[in-house]
This record gives sequence, C-alpha cells and structure tokens, in this order.
Amino acid sequence: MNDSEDVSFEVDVEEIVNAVLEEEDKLLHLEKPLGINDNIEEKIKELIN
Amino acid sequence: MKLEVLTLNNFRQFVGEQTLSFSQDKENNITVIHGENGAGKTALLNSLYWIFYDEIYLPDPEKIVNEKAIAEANVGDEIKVEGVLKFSHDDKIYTIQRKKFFRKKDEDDVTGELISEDFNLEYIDNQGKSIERNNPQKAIKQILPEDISKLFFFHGEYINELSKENQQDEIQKDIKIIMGLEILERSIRHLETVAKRFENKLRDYGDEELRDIIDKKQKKERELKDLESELETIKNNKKGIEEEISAINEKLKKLEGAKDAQEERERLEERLSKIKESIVSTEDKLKTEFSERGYYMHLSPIVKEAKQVLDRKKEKGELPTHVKKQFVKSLLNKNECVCGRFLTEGEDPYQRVQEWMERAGLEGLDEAAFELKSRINEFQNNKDSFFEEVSNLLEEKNKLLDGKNTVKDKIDEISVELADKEEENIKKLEERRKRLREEIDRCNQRIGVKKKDIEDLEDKIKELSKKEEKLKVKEKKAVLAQKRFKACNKAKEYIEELFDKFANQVRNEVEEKVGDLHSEFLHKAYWAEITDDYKLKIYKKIGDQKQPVGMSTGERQIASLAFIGGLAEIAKERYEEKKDAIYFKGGIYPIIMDSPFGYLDVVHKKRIAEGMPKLAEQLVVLVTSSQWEGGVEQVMTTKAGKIYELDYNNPNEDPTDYEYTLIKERGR
Repeated sequence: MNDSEDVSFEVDVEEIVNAVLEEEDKLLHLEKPLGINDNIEEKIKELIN
Repeated sequence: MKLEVLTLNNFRQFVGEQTLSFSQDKENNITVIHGENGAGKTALLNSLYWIFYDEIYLPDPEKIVNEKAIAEANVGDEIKVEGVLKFSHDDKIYTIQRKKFFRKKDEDDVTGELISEDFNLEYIDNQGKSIERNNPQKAIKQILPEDISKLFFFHGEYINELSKENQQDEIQKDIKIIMGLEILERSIRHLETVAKRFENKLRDYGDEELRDIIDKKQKKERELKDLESELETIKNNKKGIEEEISAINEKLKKLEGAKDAQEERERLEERLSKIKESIVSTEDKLKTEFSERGYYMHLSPIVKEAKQVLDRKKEKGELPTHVKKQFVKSLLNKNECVCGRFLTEGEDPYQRVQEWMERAGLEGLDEAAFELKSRINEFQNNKDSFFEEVSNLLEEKNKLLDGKNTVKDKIDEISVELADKEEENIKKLEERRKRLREEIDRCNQRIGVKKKDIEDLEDKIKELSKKEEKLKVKEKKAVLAQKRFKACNKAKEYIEELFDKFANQVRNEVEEKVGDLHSEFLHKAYWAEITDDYKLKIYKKIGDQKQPVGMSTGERQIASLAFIGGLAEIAKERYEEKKDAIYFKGGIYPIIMDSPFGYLDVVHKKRIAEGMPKLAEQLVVLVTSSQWEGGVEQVMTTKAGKIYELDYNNPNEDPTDYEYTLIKERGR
C-alpha cells in the first residue's frame, strides 16, 4: 500500500459515510445502543485493509 | 404524532381521575380548553411534560399530589398520582403511563413522601398485540425529543423569547432537531472518536517526528475541549443570571412603589435593544460600502496622477494627436512625402519623415484619452458619493451611539431611583439586580476572551493536522493506520459538508415559510428573515434600503408563532415526502398553545386564530375568556372538534375547602 492508492479514497469515503449513517440509523431503533464506535471502526477496517 | 386521550389522576390541581379527549377530526382539528387565570391551563400543559419527561416547569415542582387528595387521606395512606396519554405515531397506537405513589407522613404533610414510581410505554402492533417497550424513556425521546416538545407545547410567554436577539442558538437547535439533522451531528462526533483511535495507532507505529506532532496536537485538542467546556459554563451562568434578573423584574412590577419605574425601564430596555440593532445594521452597511467601493480611497492618488498626465499632454499639444502613426507608415511604404518628394531609404528626407513615427499618435489614442478622461470624471463622482455615503452612515452611527448613551443613562437613573427607595424589599431587589447586571458584563467579557482563545487554538491544531497528514510513514502498520485515519477525517468532512448543505437548505425553507406566515399574520409591509447566523429578524423597506425593525411584544409573538408554524409545516411536508430517509425526515407534531394571544390586539388575534389551525394537523388551545374574545371565538369555534372547560374550585370562597380543578367537556 502506498500513497498513490489515495485515489481510491473518493470511493472509500462515500462507502464509509453510508456505513456510518446506517449504523446511526440502527442506533435510533435499538433498545440498548452500544458499541457504535466499535462498529464504525470495524467498517472502516473492512473497507481499508 | 397525534394526541388521543389524556387521563390525569390527582396530578397537581386535577383532583381524582380527569379525562380529556383531543379532537381527531381532520377538518375540526382544534381542541379548545377554557380556563381563567389560575384554573390550571399551564398545569395541564405541564402534565404532558411530566408524563413524557418527568419534568414540571411550574412553581413548587415538587408538589405533584393534589392537595385535596392528600388532605383527605389518613396519615400513612398511599396516594397514587398518575398520568396516562394515548397517542398515535408512525401507524402505531401508543399508551404512555407515569405513576408515582406518595405516603402521607403526618397531618400537616401537603407534599407526601415518594415511595415508588413506574413508567411504561406500550404500543399495539399490526396484529393488534400489545407490546411493551423496554427502554421507554429513550423511546419517548426518539418519538418526541424534549426540545421539540418545548417548541410545540408552549406557553405564550415562552415563544416571545424566540424572536429576541440572543435566541439564535435556540432557533438553530430547533431547526436541526426538527429536521432530523442530529443524526449527521452524531455521525460527526462518532467519526471523531474513531479517527482518534486510528491516530493513536498511527502514533504507536510512526516515527519520533510523527509521534511528537501527534502528541502536541492531542494536547492542544484537550486544551480546546477544556476551553469549550469553560465557555459553555460561562454561557450557562449568564443564562441563569438573566433568568434571575427576569424574576426580579417580575417581582418589582408587582410592588406598588417600583411598578412604574420597572415598566419604564422595560420600555427603555426595549428601545435600547432596537438602537443596538440599528447600530449593528449601520455598521453592516458601512462594511458593505467599504468592501464594495472602498477601493476609491486607494485608487484616488493614481487617478489624480493620470489626470495630471492627460492635462500636461493637452497643454503641450500632444493630445489630441494630429498625425497618426498609420499615416506616416503609409508615406514611408509609398516612398512619397506629402509634398510630393520621393523618399529613398537611408537618405535625409526619408529619415525626417521616419522621425514623425516617434511623435505621431497611435490609432484610437485620442478616443482612449477621451474615454479615460470621462472615466476619471465618473470616478470622481463615484468617489464623492462614496465619501458622502460613508460620512452619512458615520453620522447616523454617532447619533445612534448618542441615543444609546442617553437611554443607558435613563436606565441607570431608574436603577439609582429604585436602590434609593425607602422600602427595604425594593432596595434589596434592585441592589441584587445591579450586582447581577455587573456579573453579566463580566460574563460577556469572559465569553469574548474565551472565543478568541478558542480561535487561536483551532488555528494551531489545523497547522499541526496539516503537518501530520503530510508526513510520510514507512512502517506498513503505520501506513495502514494513516490511511484509515485520513479516510475517517475525509468522511467526517464529507458529512460536515452534507450537514451544512442541509442546514442551509432547511434554513432557507424555514425562512420562506416564516416569511409567508408572518406577512399573513401581520399584514404590514414587513417581512421575516432567518439570518445566516439564525437570528429571526423582521425587516422593512425604506427607499431601496432594507432596514431591521425593532419589534413590540405583540410583534415578537407574531414572529415567533410564524416561526413555529413554519417549522411545523415544513416538518410535516418533509415527513410525508421522505418518510423512509435515514436523515432529514421531519415529522408530524401537534401544536399545544397555552395563552398564545396574551399580547395581541383584536386584529392580530383573529389572524393568528385563522392561520394556526392550517399549520398543524392537530391544535390544542388553552385560553382565558378575555383571550377568547375579539374574533378568536368566532374563528375557532367553527373549527373546534372538542371544547373543554377547566372548572376551578376556589378555596377562598370556603376556608374548609381545597383548591382543585375538574375538566369538563362543554355540551355534556
């Protein structure tokens, strides 16, 4: 992985944004919303590995 | 959300079980509740806050149990206080129930000792099955956030505050909440936390230089957080002090010896606030003048020099030019002088004609010189008008400043007059008020300093962030952490942009609606705007200039009602269009207005009465008989699906009796 791969960021960013918003939406409907930060961290790790 | 049935049991002055059914009729969507002062209108409004959030915004909020119920109970008896509300929301029927059990401690006990309490929320699902929500308080906050409830379940006096100068935070917050923009705010916050985790990994795997930058940056970020929290504390303190001053003002107005002076002070303070608004507007105009035409000041010497050059040329006879370069060139090309002599290159006559090339003017030079001269004259005129306008504005500002000082002096005189009163209570109240005013000045100064410190710190953090992002890392794990960290920040920026875009879009929509409603309600050549910094302002046109208008209490009420109505309408439209969107989805809310016509004259009462029912699917109005007069009755009765009366039992008429209220439906 090197800096030239930065171009893929555009795609990754949108994917990250969608993933985060989905997590936030889930949070609204959960009775005990825990671990949102962990979930977001995992999503980002999945998308950028 | 649509309210269906409210049942109260021994809550405050509502003795025993009292029930109220809200109108469900689409056409006749108003529920009117009549009650004279003290009959329990505000207590009824507060019963909703109590059921939803366990909050009561009334004097003696700890007195929940009805006084008749506790007085008639035996020592040691348990008294149940209960509020049940049935409402529909998102195609489900909910029942929310709050219960508190109190024990009477002794014969003189009028409050009771809280023994136990219970709160639950149930809904009926598609199969008609009743389901209890596990975390009811959280569920309620999702259905009706507390801030929204304050906006739509309001007392007439509260809404006047909305149009005051210092309410922009409130307005911004209301707009964001109602449009569901909070989800974006939360995302930003969570991404910040996750970014920090990746940054820590980057620090662990990065080299010494990177570690140093990250440490410095994180230290600054901690300092920033502290400063922001200090700023918040000062702002809250200030708000608390302002509330205490308002309470003192009310007390002074009730004291015979201070009433007139306090009322005069309030008028002066209103005037002072209008003057301050005009000063800001004049300063804005000055800024606009300088940004649009300020260059005249800098260009003046150059233009003057250009004019002198042109004048000198004219004096010397060089302008206008009589011989053109093109003409001399054609003579040399034809090898023939105007006198007919043949011109041979290298010979003297050729040389002499060629020398004219240096002295002759270019084609268009005269036109250009003429054009320049007329531009210089135009510049001169514009420059004069710029200086004249600036001088007028400065004069206007000075007059306003003088006016401000005069009004301030008068306010100070009133303060001295009240502090010198013989009545000890007035004296004490005024002295306390004075100390609080000084405290507010100190708060303002501290707020200014903190804001500046925050700005400086933010700049430093930005600088360090740039360095951090630019620094190359070699170790594989560090590279990965840096990529994730950058991606996290980019996602955060993306959502911030999204947020700004939506917030702005919503602000514009709200502004448009509020503007329309305001014109409908007020019928004056005024219009409402929500400024970029979320202030609700009213303007009028003087000539071709837009001028802010200082508002009377009644006008403030109209502006605030227009704001609430506008928000309710947009939230409803948005909800119907974008029900399934993740964010920015709006909602449908009832409007409950307690004494909303308090400061309005007959004409405006009628207009508001006509306009408000159109804005919400359900409207509940709590009014006294005097508020009901003046056309309100005529307009609202035709749209009222349910009419109730608060039948107040006044204990003064029978000393052995108690204060209590019964809710009675009219016509039953």
